[in-house]
Amino acid sequence: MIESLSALDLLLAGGLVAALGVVQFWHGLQLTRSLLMGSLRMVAQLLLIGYVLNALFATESLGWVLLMALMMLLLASYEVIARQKRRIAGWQGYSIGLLSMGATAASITAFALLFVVQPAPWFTPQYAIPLLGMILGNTMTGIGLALNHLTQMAASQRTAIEGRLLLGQTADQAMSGLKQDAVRAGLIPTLNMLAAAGVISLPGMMTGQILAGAPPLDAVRYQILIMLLITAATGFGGLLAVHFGARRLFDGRERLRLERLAPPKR
Amino acid sequence: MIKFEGVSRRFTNGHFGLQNVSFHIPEGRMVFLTGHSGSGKSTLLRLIPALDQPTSGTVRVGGHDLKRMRPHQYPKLRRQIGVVFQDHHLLLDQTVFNNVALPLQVTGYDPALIRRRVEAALDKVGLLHRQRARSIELSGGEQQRVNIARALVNRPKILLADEPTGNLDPELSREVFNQFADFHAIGVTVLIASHDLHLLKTFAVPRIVLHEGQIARIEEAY
Repeated sequence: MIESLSALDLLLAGGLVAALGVVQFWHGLQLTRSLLMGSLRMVAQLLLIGYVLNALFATESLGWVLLMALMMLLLASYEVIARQKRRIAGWQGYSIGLLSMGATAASITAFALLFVVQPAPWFTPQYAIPLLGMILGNTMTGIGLALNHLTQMAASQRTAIEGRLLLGQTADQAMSGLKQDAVRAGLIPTLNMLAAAGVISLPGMMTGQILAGAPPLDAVRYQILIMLLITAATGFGGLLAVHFGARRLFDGRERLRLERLAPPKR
Repeated sequence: MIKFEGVSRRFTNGHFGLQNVSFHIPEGRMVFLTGHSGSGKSTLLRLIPALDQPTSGTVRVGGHDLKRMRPHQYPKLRRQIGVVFQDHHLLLDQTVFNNVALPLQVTGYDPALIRRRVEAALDKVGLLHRQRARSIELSGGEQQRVNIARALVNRPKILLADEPTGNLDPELSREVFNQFADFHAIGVTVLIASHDLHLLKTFAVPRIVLHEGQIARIEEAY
């Protein structure tokens, strides 16, 4: 059984961050405020989600689980686009994030619940929400990186892309190398995660389960499942997002339309 | 072959790149496009292969209204147009042969035919002996000649050039223009944008003079 943490225990850990803030202040790093705000925000967000999950687990209602999943999906698609240096302007940018994540993270989570984990009922929030959260978080990072690479490279390599169009290539042909690079860029964190798992780092979920008293091999099996699901979701999500993103950069006349990108962020 | 009817191109910042431009270049003619930097030469050239579209007016190429074509027709149209730009867009890590072969590989020609066509195009620009060299190993003048060979290997009906001699010395510039004149002589429609008036005046070719996005005058050949 997990050892419960009291507010005092958390305050002790918080003391370490406070000490860091003081040292940073002495060194004139001007990071103390960000550190304080970031820590407070993290505590508030986690406490809030703790209460939400508590209520959700008590209800076991499909409607509430779906609503929660939809909110997570919407927030993730907003985050994907908000972090882009050259985002695709307008609602199309958000819809690319939403569509790619909905089609991959959400469906792969549903697949895992229905055919692999098989809790009863299949939408048991204790399984559904953490699974979706972990898959969505990683997919969001992968799709964000892939789209960021795609749009930045398209803007910087405009002459080369138009040069290929002028040689008679279609938009797909002219963008093929760039699309491959973008998909690769989106998968790099996942590939690093796979390579480091168990050797350089102990994954968070597995560590959490072990801390909660689960037998290590059970925790490992769950971790392997999660990593495989994350890899599939990130890979497919990146492919979809890059496909839709590249299509948005061209019009029906096979012209590169860079004005569909928002001005670069500073 | 190339017809502009009241063409304007207004950019998102409100600036007019072109304003009410009309002209007609019949098939097989060679025409120079001239004017100061920013007069609209590049904007005009980008409209012909449909890399850009006018805000108003009609551009016709080979009888087609570029606004009314189907999506799959645009790559086909572009294959009929050879384009030579000042910055040559060569794949610098590839050989001269591969660079020139690219437009033919896109269309899926037989490798033996591609070899024959590429060698003929390189022979025409005097670079057959350098076909195995990497493009990065070539001088600026040689790279521009590879660019010309690549623009012509598909046997285009139209040749567009945007400041094609910007990086070249006067002797090489003249050589490049002579090559364009050779292609004009075999029936290719040629439109060259350049602000090198000294060079342009040595050719008996009509000139469209642009000023601030409008046609200032059209000078007939003399």
